[in-house]
Amino acid sequence: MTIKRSRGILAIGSALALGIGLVGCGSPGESADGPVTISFWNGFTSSDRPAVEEIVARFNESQDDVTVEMTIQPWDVFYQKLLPAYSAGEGPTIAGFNALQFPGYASKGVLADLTDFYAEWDEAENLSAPAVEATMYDGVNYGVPMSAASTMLYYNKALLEAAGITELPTTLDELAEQAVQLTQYNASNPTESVYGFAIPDHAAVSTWTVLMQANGGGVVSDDGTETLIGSDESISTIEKWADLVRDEHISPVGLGGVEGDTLFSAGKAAYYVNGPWASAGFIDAGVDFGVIPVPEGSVRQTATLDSNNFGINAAATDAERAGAEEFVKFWASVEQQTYWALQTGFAPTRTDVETSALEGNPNSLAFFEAKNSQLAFPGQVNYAQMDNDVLTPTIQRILNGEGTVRDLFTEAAAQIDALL
Amino acid sequence: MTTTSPARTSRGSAIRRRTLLTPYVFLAPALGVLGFFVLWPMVRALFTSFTNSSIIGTSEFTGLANYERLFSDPAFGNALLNTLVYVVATTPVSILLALGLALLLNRRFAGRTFFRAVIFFPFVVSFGIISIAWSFILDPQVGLVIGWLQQLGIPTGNGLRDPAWAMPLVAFVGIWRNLGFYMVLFLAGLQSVPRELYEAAEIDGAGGWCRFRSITLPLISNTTMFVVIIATIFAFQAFDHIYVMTNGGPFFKTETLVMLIYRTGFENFQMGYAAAISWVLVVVVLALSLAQMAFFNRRAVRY
Repeated sequence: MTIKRSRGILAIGSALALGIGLVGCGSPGESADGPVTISFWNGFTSSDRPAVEEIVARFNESQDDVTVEMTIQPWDVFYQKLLPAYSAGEGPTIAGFNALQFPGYASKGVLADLTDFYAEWDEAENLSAPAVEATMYDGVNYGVPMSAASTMLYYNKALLEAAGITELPTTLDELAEQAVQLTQYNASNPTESVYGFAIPDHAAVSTWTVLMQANGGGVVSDDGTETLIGSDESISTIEKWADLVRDEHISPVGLGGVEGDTLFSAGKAAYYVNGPWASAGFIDAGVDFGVIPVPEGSVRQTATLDSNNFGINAAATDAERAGAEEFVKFWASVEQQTYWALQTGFAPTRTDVETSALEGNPNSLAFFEAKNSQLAFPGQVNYAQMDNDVLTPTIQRILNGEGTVRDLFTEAAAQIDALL
Repeated sequence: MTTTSPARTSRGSAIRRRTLLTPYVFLAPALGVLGFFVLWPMVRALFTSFTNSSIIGTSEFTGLANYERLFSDPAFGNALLNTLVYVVATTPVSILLALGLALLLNRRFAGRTFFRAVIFFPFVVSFGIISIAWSFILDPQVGLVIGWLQQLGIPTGNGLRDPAWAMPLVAFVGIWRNLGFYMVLFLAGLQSVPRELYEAAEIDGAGGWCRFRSITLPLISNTTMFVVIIATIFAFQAFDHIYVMTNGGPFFKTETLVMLIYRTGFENFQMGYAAAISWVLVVVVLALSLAQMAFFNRRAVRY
């Protein structure tokens, strides 16, 4: 039996039953001839928010046909509302969100197929190739890059100097040695400890995945079809790093992304992997830091690609769709991308921006030159479950000594297999 | 018996009808809101729980499949156990502390209102925001309280990130938050106890403990019943501070049923299964509340 739902009521009902208020918002489209108003949702609430607002304002001023009405809300609220909103026919014309979440939404048919748009857009070839790759699901293009960033290795210059380290690491093995050397662990009062290499295990761009990928392992293969977490490469990598965390205390156990940032800001972490969005906070905190590419592993040099895409509502009217396409083209223009990079420290989403234009922001330049980054879970419809239900708790169990890496990763591999 | 004229009968029944109707007219706005925003969604959720709904697209009727899945799902077992631990850890402690504080603050002394306000304060502030504050205070690397405790040589493990400490710490914050509310309820109950009973008991030579046992406790039993039921329901609904402080972690050690419902429904988009877990929670809470009412009604005392 197939049940057709009265969707609005269901969305309201479920939300109330769970004690979470949903606020519906959406703007009605106008006739195809007159000016059109399109809605744009994203979760850029932190230091990059003013730059997003500025580009939207510039677009609205640049022409009279399309008005973008933007709603910025925290990411967790954004993801709670997005699917119910699409389901109630109130979804935003444009939604800007993480590439890892894209396959899940694309598979539900709420995002428009942009194959024709790309075919007609002559500037598409100037976009960063890995960022465009991150908009694909099942061979079809469902998005346009909004922001694309590679993670890099941040280092605290003062801590390195105090430890007499003059050569920055070029391999992960060197990073491991230096991390041990830099760590000053105080067992009786961890608030006075200094950590060599802070590695968050939840609510952060996964450093654990990069460590595995650099040594030929990972959670899933690059083409997204195979489980790699149970492989010998993944197991031996995590055995090594988990020992360093547990026995040498190079990082606190159970660190979240926010706490990792706090630790580095407080000058209590020497090395830390994160994306460009963290740099503004570190500058504010007065940390004297530098960034270098994540050192190479036994197989390759890699980093996490953290990409946000614009997705266009599959149910948008022709006029809304045309307006949305205008907006994403405007966003991708050299002028706006240069502004974006200088303001936020993100690399531009296109490759033909002159490096000389980015000299005003050394962080942006460094991130622009980062290469080889890849998605942590490429092409996975069930990405959220793989990360929240399998990878994160498994790493936490290992770090808390709840079993051997081999046993727990073999168990995790079976769970990932079921979600592929 | 006298015969009544037809006219009088119809007039009488019209009045009776009107008097019967009046209370419902007054109740209608409240019942309407309750029905539309509480009962109707609950019925819809029950309906959803028999489907494989995933928020969008069509869904199939799957009968009892979601409920069968509960029995073999380790995540559900874990969340149920965590919820029971949380309920058992927080409910009696908060009620006893609240009663004790109410008895203390029912006496007359300087600064009484100040202390009442201080204890009630956490209930008024946004739970989400004070939870953020607590997670900073309890952070093992940069936390203020953790730093002090460690300087005093009191072990705190890895704070909120320690699988052994996470649950006690969120339970502590849960107790701290609701204590003031229960205390105010008990204060209201204590003030409804007639003063002359205490005077009479004192003349009869009853001591403090005896007066408490034989007068206070029985006469506030209605309040106690209300507080016990509300406290149990609050504990079963624990979500806000856990979501903010641990998000159910480390590795699901603090994942309660409501956290699991949230993760299943709004992160994994398995709305049908999330609705089934919600209904299990409704049934458990309802059964417990009925049992508590039966227990207290048997003990209700009036003088």
